[in-house]
Amino acid sequence: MKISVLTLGCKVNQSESTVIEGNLAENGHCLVSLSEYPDICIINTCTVTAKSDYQSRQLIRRALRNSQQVIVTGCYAELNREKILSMGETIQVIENQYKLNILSNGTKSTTFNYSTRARPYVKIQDGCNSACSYCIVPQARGKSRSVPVLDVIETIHNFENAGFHEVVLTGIHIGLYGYDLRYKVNLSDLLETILMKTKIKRVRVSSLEMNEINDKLLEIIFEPRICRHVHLPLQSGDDRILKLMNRNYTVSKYMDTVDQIIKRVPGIALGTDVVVGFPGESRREFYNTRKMLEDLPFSYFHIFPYSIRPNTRASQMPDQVAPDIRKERCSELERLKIAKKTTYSEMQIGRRLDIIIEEHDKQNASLGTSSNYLRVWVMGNRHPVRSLVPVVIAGRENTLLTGKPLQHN
Amino acid sequence: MTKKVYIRTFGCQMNVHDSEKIMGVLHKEGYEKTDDPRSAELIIFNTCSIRQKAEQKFYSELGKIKTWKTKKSALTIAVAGCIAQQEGANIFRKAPHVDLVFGPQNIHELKHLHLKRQKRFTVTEDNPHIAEDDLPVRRESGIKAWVTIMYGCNNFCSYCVVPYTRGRERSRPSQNILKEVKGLSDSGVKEITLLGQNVNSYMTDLDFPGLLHAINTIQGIGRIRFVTSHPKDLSDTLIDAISELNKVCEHIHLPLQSGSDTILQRMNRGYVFKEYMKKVEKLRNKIPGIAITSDIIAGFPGESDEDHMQTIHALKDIEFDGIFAFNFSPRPGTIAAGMDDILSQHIQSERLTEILSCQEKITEKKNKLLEGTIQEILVEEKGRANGQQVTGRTRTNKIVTINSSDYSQGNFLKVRIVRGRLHSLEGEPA
Repeated sequence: MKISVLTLGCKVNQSESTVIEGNLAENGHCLVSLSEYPDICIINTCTVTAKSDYQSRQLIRRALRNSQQVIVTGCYAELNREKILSMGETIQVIENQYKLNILSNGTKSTTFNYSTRARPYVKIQDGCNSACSYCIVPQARGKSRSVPVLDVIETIHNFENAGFHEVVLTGIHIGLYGYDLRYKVNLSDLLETILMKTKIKRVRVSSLEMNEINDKLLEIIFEPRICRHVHLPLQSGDDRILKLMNRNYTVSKYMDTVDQIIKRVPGIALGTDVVVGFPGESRREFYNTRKMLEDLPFSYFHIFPYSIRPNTRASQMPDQVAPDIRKERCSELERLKIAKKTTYSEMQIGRRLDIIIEEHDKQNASLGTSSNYLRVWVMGNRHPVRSLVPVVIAGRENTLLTGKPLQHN
Repeated sequence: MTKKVYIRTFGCQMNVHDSEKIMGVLHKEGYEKTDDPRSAELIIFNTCSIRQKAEQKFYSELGKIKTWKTKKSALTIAVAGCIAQQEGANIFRKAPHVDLVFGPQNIHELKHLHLKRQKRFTVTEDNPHIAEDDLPVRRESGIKAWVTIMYGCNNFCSYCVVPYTRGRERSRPSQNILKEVKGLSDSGVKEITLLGQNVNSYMTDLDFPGLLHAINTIQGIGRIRFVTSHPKDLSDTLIDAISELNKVCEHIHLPLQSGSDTILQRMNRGYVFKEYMKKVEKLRNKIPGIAITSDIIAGFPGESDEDHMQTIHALKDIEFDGIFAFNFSPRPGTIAAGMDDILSQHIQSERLTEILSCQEKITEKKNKLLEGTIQEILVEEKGRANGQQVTGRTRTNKIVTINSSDYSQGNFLKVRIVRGRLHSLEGEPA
């Protein structure tokens, strides 16, 4: 059968879609795009913001026009089953917990070497035990569950054997890794095991919560095979707002942690997320966030306008900030965002970076990503996707760098 | 005043560790170890009977000190280990100057030795409490430690004397093992080697993979090794455990003994070559880069040229990282010793030479392949070449020397391999 898989949202969702696709392919199905009029369209939805809800519904409607049958899964489907079923008669909703084996009865496989990305995601964990007041994800994904170490190792072996040089470890809250396993382990243990038992050249740790950064973890992040990249969500630079968000740290603690990381691994790429316009956020409190983004050595950050999510504590809070003010504050950060990225990129000129090639433009120029999470054009002939090319950074075009290969060409 | 004891150890790691236990008990009795046998009041031979050669060597060394006894009446001579177990009081007939004979299961009998000094004292009884009753241990190294997890063997390979000298399999309670490892970790030990004649058949409240999982959680220990695994008992869950436990080293010693199914059967090994090969493939599949080492017996009774060639082919097919190969040695009381087609020494030696030279090329090639790679070593000793070198082993149990003295014992160090040689690797700090 011709099947199309469409995906919205986070890295976990994307990694799960990869497994769904891998299982389908293994069962003899043909993966096509929506414009090729598939027999079945599978939509892996997201509900993290109101916008993702809207995009999920939009995708379902598009699928209903082009596809005989529509199967909807993912977090939006998890929490809005009835609403989705009422959208069309051919729709089927499948819960997150069963999504990996859609139309692949019998195949139990959760580990795959199938990936449409040059730097494949490896899901190591699902669910979250925290209760950030704005976040809907625990409702959709439940408590933390870890993928057994053995399965993670096997997946990485598979990717390694298929010629990949980097894996990105993903999860909803990977700092909780291993606490639920029969033989308790933690994220440091997992990273150490990966370094010992696999030969994969690069391992990227996606997002870490600052309360989970400890000496042991910093020691391992310093290992050359672990990417020079830490993503550490800040969410707000104001202590009152952090408290309302139920984030369990203060601004000064966050700064201390960043300090430790930078001292330990100088030049590391440091990324963060901020939510702008949280209920009750005053202008001054917003400035505190902006000040933090200015002062700390972030190499990039993502800005999210606050989105009211049903049945969250924040949705019940008074003083919701008007949508246009949220938007305005976001755009106030845009310029800073580019400036931060430019500053970090500028620092790379003359440095040696290893680039994993991910795509080509029409002129066959190769674009890839470095260990410290920079996008780099690699000069010279077309380098194959997935290949690792050592380069010296020669210059910068906007937020993209250009690199000159060290050997060959 | 402290009394001095000299102990001479033959044979396997089990025996070396038994000597540490003997020292543990004697230390409590007021003895200190000496490296000079002439200054000792007590001389112990911890013997090995795995091969005739080891036995001959022991008797010759024992003979050399016969005259000491007449010069020094206070001297006590004791024979421990597998020959003691096998020969018992017969040793007194062969060597009347011996005072004590005690088997590997009777080390605890050294307690209150001063009360038992009446002459000619023999203990070789089966000790049903050996797994439960722990003895104190005086260890040789502060960085690496052996930990016994089980005693004895039930396999009765037709050539092997161990089931007769060390009795049936008994597993130590896991709590005792964990407590010992925790204690070792607290005292600074970085690497432990779990010992048993056949660790895969460890079974208490935990099986062997379960035991590895439990030990892996102990803080401070950086590496876990184990010997020996019987190929027939190497389970998927053990392979999984090696694959998923960060501290368990990527090395397995998996004695093949012969590449011929006929000979394997006569050896009573319980597997055919194909099954062995499958396990090797599984290991390499799940644990890329794992080092596999082996034991080979050259010239087993009835081994034809064809059988021998199958062993050579097996070596070439498998490409072990290293092997221990020996001529067949008839051990009294074993089935193989009674076989009527024992080969001449000449044929055995010829085959052994061929086996060793075949493997040498493979070992050297494998070591060469490591050139340029980065390996973690545990720095073990300083001192060779005027203190300008340190040595350590990789997780795959290969010896690496580096020309630098800046690193202290017990540290884990990343090194780049610059040269692979036959017997060791040369590295530099990475």
